[in-house]
Amino acid sequence: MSREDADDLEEDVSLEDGDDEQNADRAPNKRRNRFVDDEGEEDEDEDEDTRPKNKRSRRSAFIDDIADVDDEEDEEDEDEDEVDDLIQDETEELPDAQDARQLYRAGREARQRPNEPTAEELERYVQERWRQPTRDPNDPGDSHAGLVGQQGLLPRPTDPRLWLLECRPGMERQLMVALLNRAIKEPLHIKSAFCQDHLQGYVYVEAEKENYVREAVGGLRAVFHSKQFKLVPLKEMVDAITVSAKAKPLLAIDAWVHIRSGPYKDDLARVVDVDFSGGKATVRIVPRLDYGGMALRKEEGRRAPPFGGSRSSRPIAKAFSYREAKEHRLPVEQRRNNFGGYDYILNGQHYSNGYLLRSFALKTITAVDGLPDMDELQRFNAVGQAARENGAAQDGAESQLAALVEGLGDASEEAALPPLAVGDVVKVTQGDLNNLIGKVQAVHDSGEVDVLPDMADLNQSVPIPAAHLAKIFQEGDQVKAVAGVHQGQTGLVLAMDSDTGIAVVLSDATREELKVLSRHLTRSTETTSTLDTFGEYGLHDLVILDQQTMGVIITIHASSCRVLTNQGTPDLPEVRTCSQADLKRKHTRRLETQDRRGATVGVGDMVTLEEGHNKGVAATVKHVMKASLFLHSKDFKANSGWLCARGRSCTLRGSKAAGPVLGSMSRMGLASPAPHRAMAQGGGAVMASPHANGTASNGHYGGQATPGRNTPYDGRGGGQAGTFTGRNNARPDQHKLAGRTIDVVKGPHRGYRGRIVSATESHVRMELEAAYKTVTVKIEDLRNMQQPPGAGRGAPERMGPPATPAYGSRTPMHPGSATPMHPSMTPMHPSMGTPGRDGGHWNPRALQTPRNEPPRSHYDPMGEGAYQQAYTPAETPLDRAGTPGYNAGTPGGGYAQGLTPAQADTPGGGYGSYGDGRTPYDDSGTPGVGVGTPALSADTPAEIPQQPYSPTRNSSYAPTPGMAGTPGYGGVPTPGFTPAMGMGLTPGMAPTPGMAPTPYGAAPTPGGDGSFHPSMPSNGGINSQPFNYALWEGVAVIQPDDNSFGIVRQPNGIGQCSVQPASADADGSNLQPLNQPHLSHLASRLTLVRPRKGNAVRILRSDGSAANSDALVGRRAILIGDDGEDAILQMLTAEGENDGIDWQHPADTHL
Amino acid sequence: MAHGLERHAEPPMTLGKSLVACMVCRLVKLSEQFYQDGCENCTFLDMAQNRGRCEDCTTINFQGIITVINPASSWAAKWLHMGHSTPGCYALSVRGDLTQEIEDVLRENNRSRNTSNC
Repeated sequence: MSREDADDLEEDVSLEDGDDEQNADRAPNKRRNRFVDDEGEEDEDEDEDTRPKNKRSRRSAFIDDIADVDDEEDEEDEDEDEVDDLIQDETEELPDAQDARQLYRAGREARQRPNEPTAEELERYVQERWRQPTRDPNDPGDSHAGLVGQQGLLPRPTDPRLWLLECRPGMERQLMVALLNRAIKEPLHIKSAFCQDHLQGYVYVEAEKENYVREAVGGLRAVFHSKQFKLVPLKEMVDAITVSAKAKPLLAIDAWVHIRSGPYKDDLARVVDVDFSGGKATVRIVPRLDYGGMALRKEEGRRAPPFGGSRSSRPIAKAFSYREAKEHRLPVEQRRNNFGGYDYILNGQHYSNGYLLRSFALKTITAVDGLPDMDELQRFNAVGQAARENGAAQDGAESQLAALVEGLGDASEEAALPPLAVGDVVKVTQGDLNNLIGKVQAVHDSGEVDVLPDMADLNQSVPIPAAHLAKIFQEGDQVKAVAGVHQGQTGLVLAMDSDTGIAVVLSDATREELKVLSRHLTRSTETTSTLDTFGEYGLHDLVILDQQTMGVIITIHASSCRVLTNQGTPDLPEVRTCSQADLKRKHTRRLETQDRRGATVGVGDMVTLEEGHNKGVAATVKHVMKASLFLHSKDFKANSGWLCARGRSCTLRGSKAAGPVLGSMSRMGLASPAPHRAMAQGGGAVMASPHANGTASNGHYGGQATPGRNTPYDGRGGGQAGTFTGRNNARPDQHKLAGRTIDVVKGPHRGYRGRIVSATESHVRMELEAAYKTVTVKIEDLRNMQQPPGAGRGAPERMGPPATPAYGSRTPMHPGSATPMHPSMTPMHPSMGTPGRDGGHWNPRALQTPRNEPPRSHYDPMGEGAYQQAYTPAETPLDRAGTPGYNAGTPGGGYAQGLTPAQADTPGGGYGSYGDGRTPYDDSGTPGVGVGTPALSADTPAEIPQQPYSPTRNSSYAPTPGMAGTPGYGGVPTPGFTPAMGMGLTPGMAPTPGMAPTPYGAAPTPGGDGSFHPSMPSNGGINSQPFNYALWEGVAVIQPDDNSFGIVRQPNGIGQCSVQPASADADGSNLQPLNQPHLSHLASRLTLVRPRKGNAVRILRSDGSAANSDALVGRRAILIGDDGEDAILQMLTAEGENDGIDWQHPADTHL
Repeated sequence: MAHGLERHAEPPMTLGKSLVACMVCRLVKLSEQFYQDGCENCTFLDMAQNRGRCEDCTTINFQGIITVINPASSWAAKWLHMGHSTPGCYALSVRGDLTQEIEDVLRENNRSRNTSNC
């Protein structure tokens, strides 16, 4: 007989008697007490008379045995006794001898007792005694309850068996009650019956024999009697009776649940309150509202589905929006809540913080085991975060932490927790030594931990169960989170609240303060062990979240990462917690944007923030996305030093841009279809910023600001005196595309022709002529855009205007404007150029290097003094505004150009190019200065009659003549240089050689000469690039001084021509020599008249592009066709009439 | 024994929403029955005629029902630690927290909850 037995018995008794007064010291005297209870002798003094009572207790044991013998189940009883013996403890066994003696005493005492128990008492007692062995040791009050005890209860063959009965689904519980009712009325031999909620249509009945089962359920309609009763195997009995684990999670406040059915089916919700007796739980859930549908419902009555819309469509789950509800005129009631915000009531439903607070029947919700899905959790929390941003509740992070703690099943979590390690500082949280702080000395497998108390007098470690210990940390400890949401992070403990067990940790990686449970922390010497990859993404990668949203990964956790998006502002950054699924892809393209001054900002640039809290802080551009810059600076305290700002709220550092900000730039009247680009370029020009110039306008002197200039067709092209760019890179090219009309030769719009309204590196937007719409076309699909710059030819049909420059090759401006458009020109003159220029310099590739520094190269030859003069050309166009040729007419443009040379003022960057530029000169051996002389001497032939030019054509080079003729201009040598220089050096200048003759005569500056060394022509086409003036006899020209037409009569081969004045129509046709004295002109100042179709022409020079072109120089031909750039000629030779040659520059062929 | 069980707990009168289980002994009855008669096993809880106590001690959150007819010899009852309970309808498992007050009452009576199978 065991103490447990006694205890049980006593309990039973006290149950019946309602008697509990002897609680005081029942423990030591259990047996006696039991006995006393049985006898109803509560008043007896326990201490006095223990012995007899013990005897009596033995007697009761005796009786017990008797009862057992009488019972039919004695065998089983013995078994159970054995089990009890096994399980139960040391206090139990009594030796046989002693047993016998006690039995004897018990019997004697029984006889001596004054109040012999009545038969009823005995019976009752026997009954209870008989029940005792079946009392399990894990009963309430048993301190040794546990798994071992339960193991002892495993079914044995002697136990009653379970039969599985089929019944009508849904009737299980009724069957249970029916059986009980039946058992109350008549004796049943079954022991028990049970049903499981998850097992519909089945019940278990426990009995010795199947027959008993049949008896018990006989006549019960709920049971399918026809079906066999299945005997449950012994091994499966425990499973049968165990409640499924799935149903186990307890609904507690803050638990996560799923809704089982209805419109919120499978939605995640959080329990706010549970009313078990009412069978309801109030949960917080992201509402699925169809405001429109709800509004409709009001009007149409109540038949519409309660949640609006049709049943088939399920409204999207999103935060409750008061504004939206109002928009639909729904009756929303507002109530102030405790957090200073508002709660709303709509249709009787309560909305708080964007969540719907609604009560669900407990049956319709299922608790989530552990933590819900990261995705779900995120969607759920997003609503609250949004609300938090509105300042509704600031406790989000903490409550989330609390929730996570709550949500984690302690049991499951404990397993993952790191064990205490030797050296850990711990605090005792339970037991006698509560609040004791000590250091772990040893950890035993048994779960006990030796703790050395942190007290002066205590030198001995105390064993304490690990469960009673909590780790504590001190400020300054370097720790690492080994579990929980911040797993993997390391940091410094800033504060430790040992009551709540929460430590505030300054994260090494993010420099943010994290609240971490101390049990998730462990001391660590690692300084940074933060995760730096998140699947395919890395820390600080630019990732796309959705079409509008992209961001930088600033922190990576085990299953999520935090992304600083471009949706926030510098002062209110938006950081989203994302799972892998949220990240659509990585963004790797390097883009650029403009800062507030229009300077181009790219990755790696330093910018200064101009707005917000961080105004003045310098940061590095790490990513550029659309107009957003992702900046990193150690000065940004939050978000790991990352910040997302608009390009316009920053200024590029190191930029000398001092000009107006972008906004004002646009007011400059630059009618550019691509405002940004134009502004950038124009800005560069205006501001004379080398930076801007270099990146945006690329060698345009600034005259390029107006795209229109690039289209000589418009007549605007002429004014560009200042554009001396040697070469243009691709971008200005595209820029210049704008405004052009061009054919599409490939792609879906093949065959269309349209005007380009804007252009990017790869695409243009063009207005189709045939259809009133604007389409985007790949640049490769445009006619002749396939060729890379420098390799191909210009657009043939547009060649007219480009041709002009060729004509006016003398005009400084042409080369500038023409070159970009026709990069192809360059190759044309491989052999051309000043003697000094060797082919290599003309190699377009080689030339590309200097191209960005055209200004320098232009000025180079001029020497320092030229810088000042550089301004002059700028003025030129203005002065000449009146000149017929100067149709550009856009003063703005002119102005811009005028300033452009100013860029030259900042030679700093440009000097590099000097070297390149100079080389050819040096080689040529004809330094600019030296050349001056011949140029002057060339003046003489200038008198050679000039033939009138068609004004249209002239427009482009109008300045040139102007330069020559304008009185005020005469003294200004500089203009001449500029072009000359540019041409000489820059590949784009290829045409320059042509120009060379023109202005230089007047120009005392030697610079100009480089290109037209007088000797060259006389040398006769050794280099075909400059004109061989000896061939000019009979060629129609325009005289420089008065723009009158003339015919060259006596070219002297060294640059002087005698020109017979001639009359002609404005366009140069009907040329008639006049009987007037011949004038002598510098050949270089003469302008060739563009031949017309049908005219007889002479080939004056060749660009070397055709195999035999050089050989053709000097020959005569009939101009058959002219596509603007190339001419088709019918040669007047013995070889045949049909010898058509396609010339790239009609300018090269003249009558 | 001519007629069935001598001692037994009242069977639930109906099955429905108000079917609740005693959180201490897991007896299942209607909440109204608890109010009327209290819990046959846990008389010390004084649920009878005490609405608040009824609510504190019972819960709807239980799983499965077992009808214990012969607790003493039933393996199931033994397994569920109901070997000494009054015959009646019980829950297989019960969830819910007892209030501190009830915990105190249990301690006073040197009883504890039957948490087996939970």
